[in-house]
Amino acid sequence: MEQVSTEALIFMGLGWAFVLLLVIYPMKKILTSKISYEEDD
Amino acid sequence: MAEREHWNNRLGLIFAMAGNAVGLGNFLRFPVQAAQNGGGAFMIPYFIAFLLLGIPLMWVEWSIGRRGGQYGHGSLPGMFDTLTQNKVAKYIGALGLLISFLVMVYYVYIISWTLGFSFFSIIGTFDGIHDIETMKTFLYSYQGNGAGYFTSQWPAYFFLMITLGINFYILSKGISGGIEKFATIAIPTLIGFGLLLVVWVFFLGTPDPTKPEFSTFVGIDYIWKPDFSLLTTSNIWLAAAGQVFFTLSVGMGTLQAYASYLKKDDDIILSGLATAGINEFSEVIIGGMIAIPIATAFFGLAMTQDIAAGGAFNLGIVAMASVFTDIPFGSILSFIWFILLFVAGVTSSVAMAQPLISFLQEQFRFNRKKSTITVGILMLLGVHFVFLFFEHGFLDELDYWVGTFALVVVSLAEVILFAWVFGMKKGWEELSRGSDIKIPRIFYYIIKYVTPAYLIFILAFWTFDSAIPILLFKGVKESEIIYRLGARVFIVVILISFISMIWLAWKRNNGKAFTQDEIEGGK
Repeated sequence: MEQVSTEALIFMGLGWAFVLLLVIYPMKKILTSKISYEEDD
Repeated sequence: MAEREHWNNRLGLIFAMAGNAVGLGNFLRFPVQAAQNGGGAFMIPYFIAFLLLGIPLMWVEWSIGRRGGQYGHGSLPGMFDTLTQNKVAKYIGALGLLISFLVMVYYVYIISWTLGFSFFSIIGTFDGIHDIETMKTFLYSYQGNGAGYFTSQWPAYFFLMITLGINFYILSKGISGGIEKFATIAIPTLIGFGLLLVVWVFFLGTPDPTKPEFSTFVGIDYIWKPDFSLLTTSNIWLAAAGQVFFTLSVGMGTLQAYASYLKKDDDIILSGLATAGINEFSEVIIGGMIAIPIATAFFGLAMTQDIAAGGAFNLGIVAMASVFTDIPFGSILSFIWFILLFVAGVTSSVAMAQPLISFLQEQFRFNRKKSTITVGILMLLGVHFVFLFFEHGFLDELDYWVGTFALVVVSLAEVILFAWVFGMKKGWEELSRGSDIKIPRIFYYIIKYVTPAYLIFILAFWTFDSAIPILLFKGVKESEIIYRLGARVFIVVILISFISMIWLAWKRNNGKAFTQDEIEGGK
């Protein structure tokens, strides 16, 4: 792991954080608020 | 009265949409692009393009699709026609049918290689091959491109037919019964397999302690270490925009086709974000962590750079297959890798057939079965051209004009039709209807001004940088020119056929889509 430079780790961390936010925010909202297309009927 | 098909549940729709976006590009193209364009610095223009180009276009396509579905249209001609009431718009929509159909024609052939390689992994066909050059010969002879391990193209043909069969079996089951069910299983499986390989990358580290520089961590450093000097060059910005473009599958007519099966007030903003999130997760976290780090651990960084420069298939198929023959449980890991690619490919390819299937149903009153069989037969005919003339550049020619250049043309056309012809005020209402979250107002201006300007810039640059030289056959072998010309004729013939079908449909029924009752009544 020491072969990964600090700059690479920072950018990897930022990239991963952005992506995780992009998955978790909408999915959490969809799954927890029980907003479902079926219930629109 | 029978209703038009709908998605069975929201999660199924999100997985199907994500499946449409997640494809070979996430695992093969992204790491190569990132590594060649500044590593960590690539992520700056990549995420900017994602916010200014990818997300706005995706929302526009979902919106056009959902609106088109209310009028019974599942393909771009009808969608553009009802959106603009303009006589020409439906013919621009022919490009949506062309792209999705022709990309599928060559894409199924590519994904059939991954099915073949996953089978070879299990039965140990390439077990004795440990070096890149020999593995290349293996792949080329499989493709019928030179002598070697395979004495005929029958194995490649067999896996191509199996791949086509799987695609059309899923499609024959319909939207909720086929595509949605398949995606609900495929996407979690694909992510599970991908994460398994990512965990293995971390454990693998330095497989040979006598060569500490041959390490997965050196590969990770290579992908992510930023080279800020490249940010001042146009190449990195265009490469990032191109990658965002391909990864979200915008400009093909497939997102719109899927979105047409939504109901009038179903949310598209939050669901769209969720599918983009799953796609980015597969690309940045899984795709970025597998091929290059693994290749670096076995071949070293310098050779990995050479391999990556040789193209995504060189890295993802040739290099990965040779790595897996060298390690314990290699055949299992190899199977996981290739089946992951195959599943990712199929979730995308089924989406590509959908626009034409919908078009035949809604404009020519074909029922689902007849429509799927017709598209299947057309596809079967089309793949033979790609299969037989692959080594002569036929596929490359299709990929450039239909799978690259035309995507930008359609995206530019649709964002102009949506924001300027339909009108951004109405467009904003259309986007916001039923939304579970409030869209930041800044996207109103991004969609109206920034996205079209961004696309015009990309289109202009690509025209001068690659389209004109490719059109003039610059750097093409003399023996290939006739086949590449043939590919162009093929594209034009299909386009003219689609335009004629649109003309006929509008002449007969003024473009009005047949209702589900009329379709089921059949002719």
